[in-house]
Amino acid sequence: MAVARMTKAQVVIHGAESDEVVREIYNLGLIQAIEVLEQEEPFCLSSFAGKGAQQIGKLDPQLREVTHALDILAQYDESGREIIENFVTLKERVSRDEMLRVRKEFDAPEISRQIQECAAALKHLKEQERWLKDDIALLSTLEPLPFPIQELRSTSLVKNVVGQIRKENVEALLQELERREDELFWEEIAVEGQFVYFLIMFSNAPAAGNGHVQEAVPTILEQHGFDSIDLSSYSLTTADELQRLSQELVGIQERVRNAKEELRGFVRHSVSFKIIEEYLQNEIERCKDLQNFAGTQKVFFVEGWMKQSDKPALERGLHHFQDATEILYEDADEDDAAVPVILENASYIQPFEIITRMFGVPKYNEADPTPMLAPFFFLVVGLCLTDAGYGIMLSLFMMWLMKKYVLDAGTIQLARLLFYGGLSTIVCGALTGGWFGTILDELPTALSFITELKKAFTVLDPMKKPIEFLVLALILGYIQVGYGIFLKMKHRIHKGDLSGALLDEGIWLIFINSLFFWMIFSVTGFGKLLIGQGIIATCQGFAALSGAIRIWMHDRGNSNVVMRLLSGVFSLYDIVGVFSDVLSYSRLLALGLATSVIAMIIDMLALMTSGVPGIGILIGLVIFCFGHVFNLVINTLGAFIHSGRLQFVEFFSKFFEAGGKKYKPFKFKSRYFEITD
Amino acid sequence: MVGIYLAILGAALAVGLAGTGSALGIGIAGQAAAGVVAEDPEKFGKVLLLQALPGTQGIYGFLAGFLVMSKIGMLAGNVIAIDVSAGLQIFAACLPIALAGLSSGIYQGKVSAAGIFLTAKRPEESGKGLILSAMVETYAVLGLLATFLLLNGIQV
Repeated sequence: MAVARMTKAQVVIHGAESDEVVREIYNLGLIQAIEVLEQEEPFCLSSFAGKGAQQIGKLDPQLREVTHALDILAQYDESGREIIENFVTLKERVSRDEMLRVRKEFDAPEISRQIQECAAALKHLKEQERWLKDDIALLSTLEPLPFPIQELRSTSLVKNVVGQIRKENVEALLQELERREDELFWEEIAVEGQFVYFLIMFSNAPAAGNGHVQEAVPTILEQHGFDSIDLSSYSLTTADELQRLSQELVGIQERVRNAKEELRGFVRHSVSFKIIEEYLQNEIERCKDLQNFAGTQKVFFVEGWMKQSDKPALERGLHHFQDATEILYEDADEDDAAVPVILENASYIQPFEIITRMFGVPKYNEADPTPMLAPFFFLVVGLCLTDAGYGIMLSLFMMWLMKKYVLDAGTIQLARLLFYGGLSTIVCGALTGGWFGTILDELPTALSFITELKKAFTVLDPMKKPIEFLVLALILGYIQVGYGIFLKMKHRIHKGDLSGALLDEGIWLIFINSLFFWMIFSVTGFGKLLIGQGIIATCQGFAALSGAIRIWMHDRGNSNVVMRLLSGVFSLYDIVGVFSDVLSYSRLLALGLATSVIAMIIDMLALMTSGVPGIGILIGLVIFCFGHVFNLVINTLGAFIHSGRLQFVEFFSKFFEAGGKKYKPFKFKSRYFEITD
Repeated sequence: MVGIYLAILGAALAVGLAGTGSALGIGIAGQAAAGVVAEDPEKFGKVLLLQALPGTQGIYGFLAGFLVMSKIGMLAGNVIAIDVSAGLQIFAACLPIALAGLSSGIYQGKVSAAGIFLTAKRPEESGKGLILSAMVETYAVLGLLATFLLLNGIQV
């Protein structure tokens, strides 16, 4: 129920067996490697560091190749993604033997080379396809040409130009051409989109007196933005050329299809590629960690953090090598900030670790706040989502999710947390009379016993008695805030600062509690009774006494009496902090109401539309289903976030510092697979 | 008649302004989300969650509007003839959620967008982005609470 006790394990291995022993330690996965910071004379890190770096240098390009192949295959993978994969990572089950077999037998470099060749060929083919399509489009536009293309060769006397010009520039060009009407022939071939296509013929012969037409015309054409088209590669008639090109296109498209098929064929290797990819990733990590270990020529030295409770497991695992190894332990010092933190909790508390981790892992010398926040969080989520119907839906959905899919450890914990939230909501919903809104109030008289049953469970309906619900929420907040201060006191006593803890936190707790009870008793009219007056007087007395002690004791170290008293008086202002923390819990009323009122609105809409003759019932049912699912999603999100926020800001701030280091073990990590034995 | 008009105006402002706050906030966050998903489609679920956070202001505004409608009897089909002073009271009671919803929605959207960028760089810390965004929502919650308590106390 706490932060696991850690120890520094030092394994000294006789050189000859060092590789195998390190491999065994890796398989056991119990140790986090420590960086060896000091280099002492007998240890030379350089050769091992060098070997590690070399190995990483070899593995990195292999990893890149495999990742590249996986990316290509992902484009041709036709197996649909489940919708849930957008939110969660699903894992595949693979047996350990299968993984080893794939690593030994699968020729990743060869197959990824084939895949890349195929992909490159496909790219080339697609380019060709594009060019062909462009050519076909062009020739189709030029179909109205009056002569076959082959005859459009320029002769010695006549030059032919076919080209395109933008519509806007046609007028200007024609005007220009008309001035030289006697020397030119032009005809409009076609209009396609923005362009107009022309055939222009003019004299090619450099004879005197023709005004240098063969130079003038191209200049004119260029000036007006006339682009000539090169048709020299075509020799047949337009129709024949089109046919030829179309046949070529069909051929290319066939080859494109084949290439895609081939690539699709490689998709079956995706799983093997993933196994290899993860193997390479882990090997690279392992080499990096290896660089932290040290050795001489005869001896290899592994140093790492592990749980004290894992000592027997480590010794058992290395039993085989016990002649070649020696294990030394050094238990971690309480205040060492470098010790990584592992949280250990009972399995029903573990889902709440998500909340703690979101904020930050506790320091090694701090208590794990998870079991303390668990009951409050459990309760607060239920109060925010006050609808038993939603609780049932949420819990059932989480159970189904965990059964149907293989999830990674973190997601399973989240699903369990949501499951607990659902359970809490069922209880709170039943107590506040929320079962899918107020639909149960509208049942026909035959089923009215259900309504009676629901009323029997209802203790406090926030819609009818909001102020009472608010007071309940505030009291819950006060209890949690008080508990937080109490935990701080406990922590300080544990550290040995008994007097400080009692004088600061202890007195403060007495002060605020005496004020609290004074207020409670006065407001509830207890004061009318004699015993009530006595109790109230006692509370007042305690308040005055503890207030005075606080004023005097708050700034104990100060020798200046006036300053000491002043800062003590100012410290009483902290009561405002307590107020604001408690008031923050009023959001429980707001959130609880939000869920209930929207559920009620959906019920009303569903009932109203089901009055419509014919399809009314159907519409009503659709509104009911979608509306409540929407409300569930939105309010579950809000409930969890606000509950978490209350823990972080109002509860943790009283006693919890966080800032511990995460635990990163020297072991094989898989993102895609769950390995079965 | 003026009283009913004022009450309806209050409800309209509650729904409209709080809805505007949510729309602007979710819009800002959504633009950030689309950018992140363009680079890495795997993060869609996480950024969707962050984008959805500023949505609650609109819902709270709707809630307030609904409460007004039920208070003046509009939902039952039988509108009560409330006088001008009651109408003004209802109008004033709607202002907390209207204004708090508008401003907190926009700013929560901005924090959500920043949280989405945080998730792009460090996907495992998306929870922290969620909490940072939820801090802004406190004021919308308080606004709703104030509106609710005020509406509760008005006699028609």
